[in-house]
Amino acid sequence: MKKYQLGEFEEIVLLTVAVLHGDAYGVSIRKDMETRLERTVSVGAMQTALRRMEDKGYLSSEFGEATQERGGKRKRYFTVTSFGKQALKDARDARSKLWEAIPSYVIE
Amino acid sequence: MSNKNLRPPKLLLHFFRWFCHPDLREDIEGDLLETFEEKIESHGTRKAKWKFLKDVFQLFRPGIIRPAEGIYRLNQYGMFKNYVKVAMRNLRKNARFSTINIAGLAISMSVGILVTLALTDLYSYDEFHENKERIYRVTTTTNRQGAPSPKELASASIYIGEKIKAEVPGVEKVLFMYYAGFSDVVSENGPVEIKPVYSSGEFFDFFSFNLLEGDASTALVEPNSIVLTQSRAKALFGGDEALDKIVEIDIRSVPTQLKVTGLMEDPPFNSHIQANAYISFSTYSYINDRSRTNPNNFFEGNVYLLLHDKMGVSQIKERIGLINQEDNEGTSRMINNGLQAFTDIVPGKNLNNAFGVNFPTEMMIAMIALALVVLLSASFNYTNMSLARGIQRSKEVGIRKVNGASRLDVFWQFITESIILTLFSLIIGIALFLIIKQGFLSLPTSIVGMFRLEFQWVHIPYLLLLVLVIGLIAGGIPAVFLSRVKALTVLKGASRVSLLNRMAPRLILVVFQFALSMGLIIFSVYVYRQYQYAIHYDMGFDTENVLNIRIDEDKYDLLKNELASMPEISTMAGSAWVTGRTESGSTIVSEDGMDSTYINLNHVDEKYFDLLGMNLSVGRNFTSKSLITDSLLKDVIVNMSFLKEFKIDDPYKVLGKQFWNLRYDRVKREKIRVVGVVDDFIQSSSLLPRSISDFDSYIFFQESENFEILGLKLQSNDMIATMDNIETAYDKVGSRQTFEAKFFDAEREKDFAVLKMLYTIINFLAFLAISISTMGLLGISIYSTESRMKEISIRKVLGASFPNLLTLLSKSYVLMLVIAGAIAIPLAVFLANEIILNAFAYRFKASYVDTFSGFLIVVGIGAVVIYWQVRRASRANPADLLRDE
Repeated sequence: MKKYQLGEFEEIVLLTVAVLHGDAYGVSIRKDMETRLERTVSVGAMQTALRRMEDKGYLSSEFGEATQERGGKRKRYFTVTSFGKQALKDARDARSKLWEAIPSYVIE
Repeated sequence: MSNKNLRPPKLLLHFFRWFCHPDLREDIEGDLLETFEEKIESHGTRKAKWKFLKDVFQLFRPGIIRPAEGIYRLNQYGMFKNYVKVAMRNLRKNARFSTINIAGLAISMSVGILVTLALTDLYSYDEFHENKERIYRVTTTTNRQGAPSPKELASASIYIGEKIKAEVPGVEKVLFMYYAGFSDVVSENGPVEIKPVYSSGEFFDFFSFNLLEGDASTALVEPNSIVLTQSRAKALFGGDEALDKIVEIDIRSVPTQLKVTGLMEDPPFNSHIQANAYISFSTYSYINDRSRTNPNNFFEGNVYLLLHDKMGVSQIKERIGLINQEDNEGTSRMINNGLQAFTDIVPGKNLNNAFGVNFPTEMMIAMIALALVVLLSASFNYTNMSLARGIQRSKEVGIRKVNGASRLDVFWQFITESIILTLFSLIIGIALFLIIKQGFLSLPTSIVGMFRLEFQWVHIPYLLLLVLVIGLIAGGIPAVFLSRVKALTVLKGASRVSLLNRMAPRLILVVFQFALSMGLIIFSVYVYRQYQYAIHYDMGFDTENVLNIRIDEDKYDLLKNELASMPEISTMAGSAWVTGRTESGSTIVSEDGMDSTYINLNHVDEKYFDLLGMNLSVGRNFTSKSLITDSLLKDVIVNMSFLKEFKIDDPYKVLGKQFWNLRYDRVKREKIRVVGVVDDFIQSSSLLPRSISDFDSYIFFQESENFEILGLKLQSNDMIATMDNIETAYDKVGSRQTFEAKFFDAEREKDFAVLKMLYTIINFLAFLAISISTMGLLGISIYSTESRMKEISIRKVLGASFPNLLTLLSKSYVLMLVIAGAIAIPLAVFLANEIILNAFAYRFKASYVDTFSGFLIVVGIGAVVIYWQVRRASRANPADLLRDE
């Protein structure tokens, strides 16, 4: 948790985007999270998280093609930037370090 | 894929679109839709809708909601220039319609301007007084036994004024202003007419009239003091110093010397107190000591209160109420006093016996209402025509939308157009107003003198507001409709757009205008007929060619002698005043003291009944004065209603009967004897139902002197010469008063001058309404014939004749006219009866022509317009129009 401000929910969203790699847009991200984590996800919270992270530079987005589905509304595809990858790695490292520091008799 | 026709809940979708930031909208909305469709397939429609609802509300959060202010609306100037340009071009392109619209709106604007200026004039009345917030006028309401409804009077008794001064806390000062009638003062330059008022010394503490010379605190304290306005002083003394000079005025026929103790500025036009001379109240009291303590003497003047604090009003009212209660115990005549705020006098309630000038609130409201009606009528004309021509503009709207205009942008564009048009109308309206201003200010009543109608800086914001509001009203509906145009439908070359299907509102507007015009015409006809009826109504005596000359009492006989030789004068009679035009009452008590009644009276000589052609059905006339022997017993002649008051059935029974006459300002009572009975006649010229001073019974006292009016019955072919001769005779006699001779008939007409004014105004409005409706009709018919040109041409080719076409095209109008008539006629007749005619006890009989007048006139005009249009249409060469098919 140094210079990367990444909340827990945001981290999960970001990871999901990485998982979906290339096919990450609103509905797919949400579905994946709901299935994998077995909990409901607020679409508002998720969208806000996506936009915020895009503002911070962890994500970039672009529009897909317009199709007949979805009333002609295009999909916005998100991808993780390298800066975002850094943030993820950093978060993982921070967590691992903490795990290692726990004396063995506390958690097995 | 299968349930394409099932759309997400429209309301929620719109809600989402409204709050969501535009940048984020597209993909999030797509997500919502996708989820929705999947949910329908998996769980059914209801659950899908429910989830949609949840999702939308989950999205209602800060990161997604758009900023409050429009984010792209920083620089509108460019678009505004474009709108103005396009608006001007459109005005020029559709010159005909634009002219019609501008003309209609300009006419109604001129009315709107008149009303605006009149209102500012009215509300500026009495505003210049510093103490205006703390000044209140005492009013009197009295319920005379047997009188229908109590009327409120603007006057009050000296008694109540002094009681308030003594007993009611919170009242700083009490001012008495009592009537002194008109007077003529003799000066080196001949008789000068002044309108004096008795006023107590507090006058200058109350009102902010500038005293140019003299001491404000003492000017009206001493008896026999008088303060003159500058103009009166000039008229009396020329350029000389007026202060301390002596002025002689007849007070109750007694010439009195008054010393000029002050010179004040002439009152401005917007003051309801317009007297031009003030005599100290102590002079009045000196002469009339009796009336001070009589609470029933509330006819003769006004009482004003200056409060310490405006907040204390309700308490003061209560105290006055208590005083009234005490005083009313045990009497048959209930007197109740109220307070009227000074600033509420103009415009204000229509009180009886009002002092100075007055403008009743009802009249003001009527004025505003009528102006509004005219304005709305013209605005709706514009609406109508814009809607009709909207189709031509829809392609333009489509292109604008494709280029990025939002619905709001289009809306503002059309509003801008209508505001610009209204602005033009305003300019022309101002010009028109200046024309009608002259007409208005020269209407034959004094009420018009209350207005100046000058433009001031303060009017500018009002007028601009007027433009904005009218622009919005007139252009609002077309703007909304046009902004709803869907770019796609229109650019594809869509058919007769839904705008045309909106015929119903347009037709309603046309019917409304027709109904308005018809109604106004009928109303005006009714008023006119009532006016004619009223001035020619048989009052029970003959007023034709009767001339009443005002003369000093002591010069009466001289004048009579001078005129005796004139052949044109068939009868001469003297009276104290003109019957029915002055109210003076007295109490008559039966001989045994058991019965009494308060009635109207006059003092006349034996020739009077001959002069007015009154029929003495019972008894005899007065004997000539040389035969009066018994000065203790006065002969009187009464009318038939008098008998009713004293419950005498047989008129012959009253002959020789004696009564007592009590007068207010004399302690003694005199014995009177009835010698004759005259048929009933209408006393009050205004034909109004019973008011407080309109008693049916009347009594004539025989008098041989103290006449102030000489009545002449004239028979002349050259009235002007006769009048000149009479005036010469008058001058010879050397009266102190200016020559004032009025024809009885002319006076009656003056009474109804208000009716005449009303009639003129309504006439004018009717004319306006017709003009506007005609223009509306013109616009609609031009449009509809133009749009049916093809159809007409085809019909012509197929052999339709002109009459066929006429019938075809006018069918719809006939229906509209009939509906308008069905609405307007009953409504107008009802209103005319309620508002105007109810004030009269006697009304004219309306004929069918009167009632249908409006209908016929409007139908006539409508027929002309339609005929003209159809003629133009049928003249067109079908070959030209059908060529490109």
